[in-house]
Amino acid sequence: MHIRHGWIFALALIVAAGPALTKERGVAAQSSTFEQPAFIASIGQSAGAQQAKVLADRAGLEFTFEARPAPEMLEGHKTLIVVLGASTKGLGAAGVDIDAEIAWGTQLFEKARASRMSIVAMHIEGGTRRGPSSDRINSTFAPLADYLIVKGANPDQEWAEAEEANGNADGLFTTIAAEHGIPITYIARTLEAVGALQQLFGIGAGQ
Amino acid sequence: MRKGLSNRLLVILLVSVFALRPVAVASQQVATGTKGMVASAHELASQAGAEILAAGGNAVDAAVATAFAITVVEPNASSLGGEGYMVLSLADGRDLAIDYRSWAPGHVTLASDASAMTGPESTCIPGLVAGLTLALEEYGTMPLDEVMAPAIRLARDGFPLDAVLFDRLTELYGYTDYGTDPLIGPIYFPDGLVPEIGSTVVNEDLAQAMELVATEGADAFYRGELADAIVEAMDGWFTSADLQRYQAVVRDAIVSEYRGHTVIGAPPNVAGIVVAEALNILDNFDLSETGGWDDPKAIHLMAEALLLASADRGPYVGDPDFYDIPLAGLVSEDYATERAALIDPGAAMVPTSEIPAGDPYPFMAVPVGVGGVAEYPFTTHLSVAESPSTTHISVLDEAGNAVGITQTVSSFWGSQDMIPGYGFFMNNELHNFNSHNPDRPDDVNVLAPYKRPRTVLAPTIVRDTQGKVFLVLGTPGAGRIPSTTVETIVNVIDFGMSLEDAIRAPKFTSRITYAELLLEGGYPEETIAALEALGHTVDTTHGTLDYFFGGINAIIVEDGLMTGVGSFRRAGGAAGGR
Repeated sequence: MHIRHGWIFALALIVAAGPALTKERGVAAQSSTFEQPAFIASIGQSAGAQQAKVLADRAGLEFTFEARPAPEMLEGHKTLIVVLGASTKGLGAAGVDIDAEIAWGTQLFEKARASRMSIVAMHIEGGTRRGPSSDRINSTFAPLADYLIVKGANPDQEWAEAEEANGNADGLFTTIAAEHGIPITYIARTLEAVGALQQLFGIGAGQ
Repeated sequence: MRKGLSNRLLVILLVSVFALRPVAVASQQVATGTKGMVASAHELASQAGAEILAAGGNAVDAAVATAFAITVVEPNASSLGGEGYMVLSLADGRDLAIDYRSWAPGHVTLASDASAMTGPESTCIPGLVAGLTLALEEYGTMPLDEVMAPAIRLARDGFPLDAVLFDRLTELYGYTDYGTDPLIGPIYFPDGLVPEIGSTVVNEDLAQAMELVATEGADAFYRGELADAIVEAMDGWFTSADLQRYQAVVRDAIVSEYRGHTVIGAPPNVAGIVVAEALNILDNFDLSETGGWDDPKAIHLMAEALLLASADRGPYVGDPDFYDIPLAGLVSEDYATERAALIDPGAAMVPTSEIPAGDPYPFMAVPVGVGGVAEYPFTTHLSVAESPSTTHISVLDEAGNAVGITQTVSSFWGSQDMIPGYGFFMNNELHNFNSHNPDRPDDVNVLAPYKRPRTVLAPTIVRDTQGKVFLVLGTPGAGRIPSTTVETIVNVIDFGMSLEDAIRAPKFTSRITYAELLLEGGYPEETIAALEALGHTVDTTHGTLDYFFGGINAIIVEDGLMTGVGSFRRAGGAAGGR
């Protein structure tokens, strides 16, 4: 699968996945449209990327993990998974500020596209990663992804978990997904991302 | 052995009884009552203290209960492996302080490296257990096992994870190889992930450690089973003798006056002196004539007073068991008047790093000293790494006994070392010492065996003009502690704000080690512009209700009604009997 334009890919995926994609939580694409090996990275250097590593392990995904890789490290991979969310401490430890992080993330996306990789953006730390800095990252990179996995709910739907755990209370990701034609899976609990990844990559029973 | 076992069973029984006993306790972020009040960084910890008040305990009993409970529900900010400072204003008129600051290990020398931020070599001998048990023995009324029962119950039965601790656990996840640490992972990351907000956090190991203390007293920690575990975990950094040597100390509180009120604070080597001196300086100005918390004239005067007070901290504030400190001079009103004369209402003192220390010696009734001003001022001031860590507890009982506790592990999660089998973290206080600099031979904060590092804790109690406890307050927030404390007091006394509004109002911080005047979000643009016009270099990068500026937990008494306020900058809570 070598799709360069996100909206074409998204349209195809919506058709393939059908109504499953419109469900509220814990639901992933029904077709195995993303290819392995994947590369997991962080944009914003939050601990979410490390959690994504654990989740990908549990999903049985073949992947490479590097929180802040040089773009060249993407060579040989089919899908880029980025975990969105800014951590002041994480950025500080990496020795960069938010502007440098966005510039680096842009290079990473450019390299992924040049390498004909698909891109999955995950936002799995809920409201914790919805401040001004995180939203600069969210708003810059989520619209450029081919698929979104978001811990939160469509604002029209009930959210039964803690309010702070909802990363989409204001509908930011719902709006991005609608405006850019990007399929989105909502999860209520972090562990549900395991199932979402398995379905996205066609891992598991019958695959 | 058999006796120990039966005692442990008794503790378990007590925990069970407390778990079942209904208590008349009301708790929320802002609570009111007339039969005692507790305010802390977590509603459940405040409830623990309020339960003890409801059971007939006094403010000291309740404060000790809360202090142990907060180590369970806010384990990032304080711990059995940590330390603190307590101020007490007792109904019988005594004003006291209990110093349970940590001590450098016995093997260190002047030349030792004090820069480690994690691991055993960042750790000082912890004082929390000694301090709390001393307070209970000397000024409490209830047995240790009873006041620790709520904390043990919280550790054993668990408590719901809130968003604030979730954030801190997210940091800890990164520190601990992403939850795989064999000691920390099973307690705080049972699924290998940061747990969901609302999930139950259980720490059976910590319950076990607390049961030992509840049963055997401080000896369990400094001479018994826990001491053995600490010495082994610290891998030679502490010896058994180091732990056995540790003692908490009762000291005279700093007592000063502000607008006719009596201010009771913690003596060196923490920052009660900065609060007292800054308020003394401000007593030379009529702040009530300004427009209030957002008036640039008021901010300017407070910022300058805090700057001058902080300049005196470097040369004069050291461990009082190592130096004769010119305390009487530093809290002298005449000295403050001399310092106040340096303030120009129309222009900021810049650069902040060159603000001179004063000379308090001429204001001493009995001359003492650590070298005098001749070797000072420093032309540059040392800065240490600072996190918004630490926690504060305010307690007031119906009889009028008041207790303020500020306790800490220094950075959030301290040294990041958990004691195996006992579920608590060790502090990383050692970095608060200054490394030896031959160009500063009189530095009072250099490393020495069994010495306390200088920090900025400032638990404070204010009595009104009739001598009754009026305000109990304190805050975490490292270098922002003195400024946030002073601003809250001024907001209440000078600007007549309610305690809730006084705490909620944006804060600024001014300190000799800060090159800029740091403002919390929420100040009007015209205020910021006016401060810049006065010559202040202003930093406005912080958010609103930003926990960088601490998190006041406080109680006010007005017409017999106690109002407790848990921090708005964290998930604080207050609880009291109606």
